[in-house]
Amino acid sequence: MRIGSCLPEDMVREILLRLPVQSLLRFQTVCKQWLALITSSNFIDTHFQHRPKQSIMLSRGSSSYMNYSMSLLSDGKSRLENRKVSPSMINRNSTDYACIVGSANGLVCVRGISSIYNGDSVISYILWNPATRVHRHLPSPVSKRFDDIFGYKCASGFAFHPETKDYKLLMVDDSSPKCLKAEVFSLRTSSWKQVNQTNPLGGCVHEGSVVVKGIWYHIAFPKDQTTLKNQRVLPILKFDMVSDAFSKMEVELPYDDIGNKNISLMTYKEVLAMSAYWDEASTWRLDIWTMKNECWTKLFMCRPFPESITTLGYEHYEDFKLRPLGIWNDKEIILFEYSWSLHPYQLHLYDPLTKKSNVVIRHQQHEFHAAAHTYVESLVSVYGTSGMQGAADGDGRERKTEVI
Amino acid sequence: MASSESTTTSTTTKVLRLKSSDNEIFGVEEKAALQSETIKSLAEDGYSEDVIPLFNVEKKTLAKIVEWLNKHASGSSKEELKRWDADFVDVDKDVLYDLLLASNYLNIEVLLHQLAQKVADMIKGKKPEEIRQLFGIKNDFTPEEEAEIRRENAWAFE
Repeated sequence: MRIGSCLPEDMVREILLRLPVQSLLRFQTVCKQWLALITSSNFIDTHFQHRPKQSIMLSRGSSSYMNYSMSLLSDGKSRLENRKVSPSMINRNSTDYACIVGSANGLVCVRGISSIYNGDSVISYILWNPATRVHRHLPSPVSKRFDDIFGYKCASGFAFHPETKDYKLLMVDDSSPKCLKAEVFSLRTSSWKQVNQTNPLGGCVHEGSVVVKGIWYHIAFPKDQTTLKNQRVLPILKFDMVSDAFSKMEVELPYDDIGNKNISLMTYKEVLAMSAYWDEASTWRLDIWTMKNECWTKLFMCRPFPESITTLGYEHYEDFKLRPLGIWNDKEIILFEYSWSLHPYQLHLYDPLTKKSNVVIRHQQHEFHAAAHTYVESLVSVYGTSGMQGAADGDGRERKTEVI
Repeated sequence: MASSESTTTSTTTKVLRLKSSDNEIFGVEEKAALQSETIKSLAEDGYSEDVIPLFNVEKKTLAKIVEWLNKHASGSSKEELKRWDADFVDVDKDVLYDLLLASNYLNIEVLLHQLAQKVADMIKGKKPEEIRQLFGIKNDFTPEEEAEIRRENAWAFE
């Protein structure tokens, strides 16, 4: 602009709020005023609200389990961006399995399981900010149950609660149907808390959960398959990240029974949503419902699916799977299509309104995990303290993530 | 019937007169002008029958602002406005700077956000030295301090 002219600070702030994280990290060196502004907690908390929503997924190479990639789906020209994640982030040894537990305000919680030579496994919980490339290994839970190989199936969730302004990681042990044994990690206190409570549903905890506005939702189907197929209500286990307590929610399904439908929870416009997909007379069907006034309300009915999906000819394979991973930008459904016998997979974005779908990626070597999480890049510190300076003053265990 | 129509017309087309710092007067329909919170409060303070003086905005900038106010009160479609806005902010940096200050002074939030976004898009790939030059900012770090902050996020400078 003009030499010697200076914009008022509130206008500088308006401009900086609209910059990506990488530019902001660089502009910290412009002057002391800019550094103070960019690292202030007020700025950090407002900044990510201006960033475009993306979807984050973790994938890995099928040839090398060590080879994890972060995939970001955004609204740009090249919609899918893949970046290799250094294996050292997940574990310095070997990692057999890693998945994203959840993502909130730019922080991504990753769970990694690695085998050590004597056959034991070690689970690590990593809090990661992919935008600032800083990660932190969280302390281990108090109970050993979450620290061994059996813990690998336990349910988990990661959330930010706007009221308490705290980030929490929840681990739930599903080994006993009667009693829920859980542990909650609070970023504010940087410690785990044990929660033992009678299971209000008395069911088995099923894989797949979602967090909406600080409440964790989880489908808790009974273990018995016959009961499951005839189920007419969807038993949902809830966990309130403020009060640290479980409760139940039993909502009638919009179908006569579950039958062969695959039900999973997702979020849509910050409301709980449910997807049901199944094969009906060799035609794939997918319905998406949202929760309104304690009832499932129809959102999208995708019947029949467009022919462009299943172009790999997977449908002739018995192990062909089509799985909705989530709803991207509250608009398009992310569909994952794969077959275990044929390795390639396809990732589709399907717009239920225009009924158009496009393949965003077709790959031979990668496998996507479980779900696509909503992500916005942010400057939020993995130490939960206000600002980046808090992170730099942390306990010295801060590590830079190598993203190639 | 005729009289009621004329009343309606006179209220919808009430024109406010805005005076720039260099004494140019712009007539703007009230509906368009009131998108500015500053003009709104000045009008409420009783300036509406008279000329509203805008001491911090020169005529060339005010002309642009009036153009924006009129377009955004014209009932254009969202897509049309989006295209129009993109053209509107596509100006050289001095004009952008004046518009930014004026929209801040006139308190037109939507325009302020558009202009801030435009500046952000313009500067996001720049080096800190270029930013200092552009904004006329003096580097008040010692070389050691600057090196330290750079080292922490070396990748961001690549």
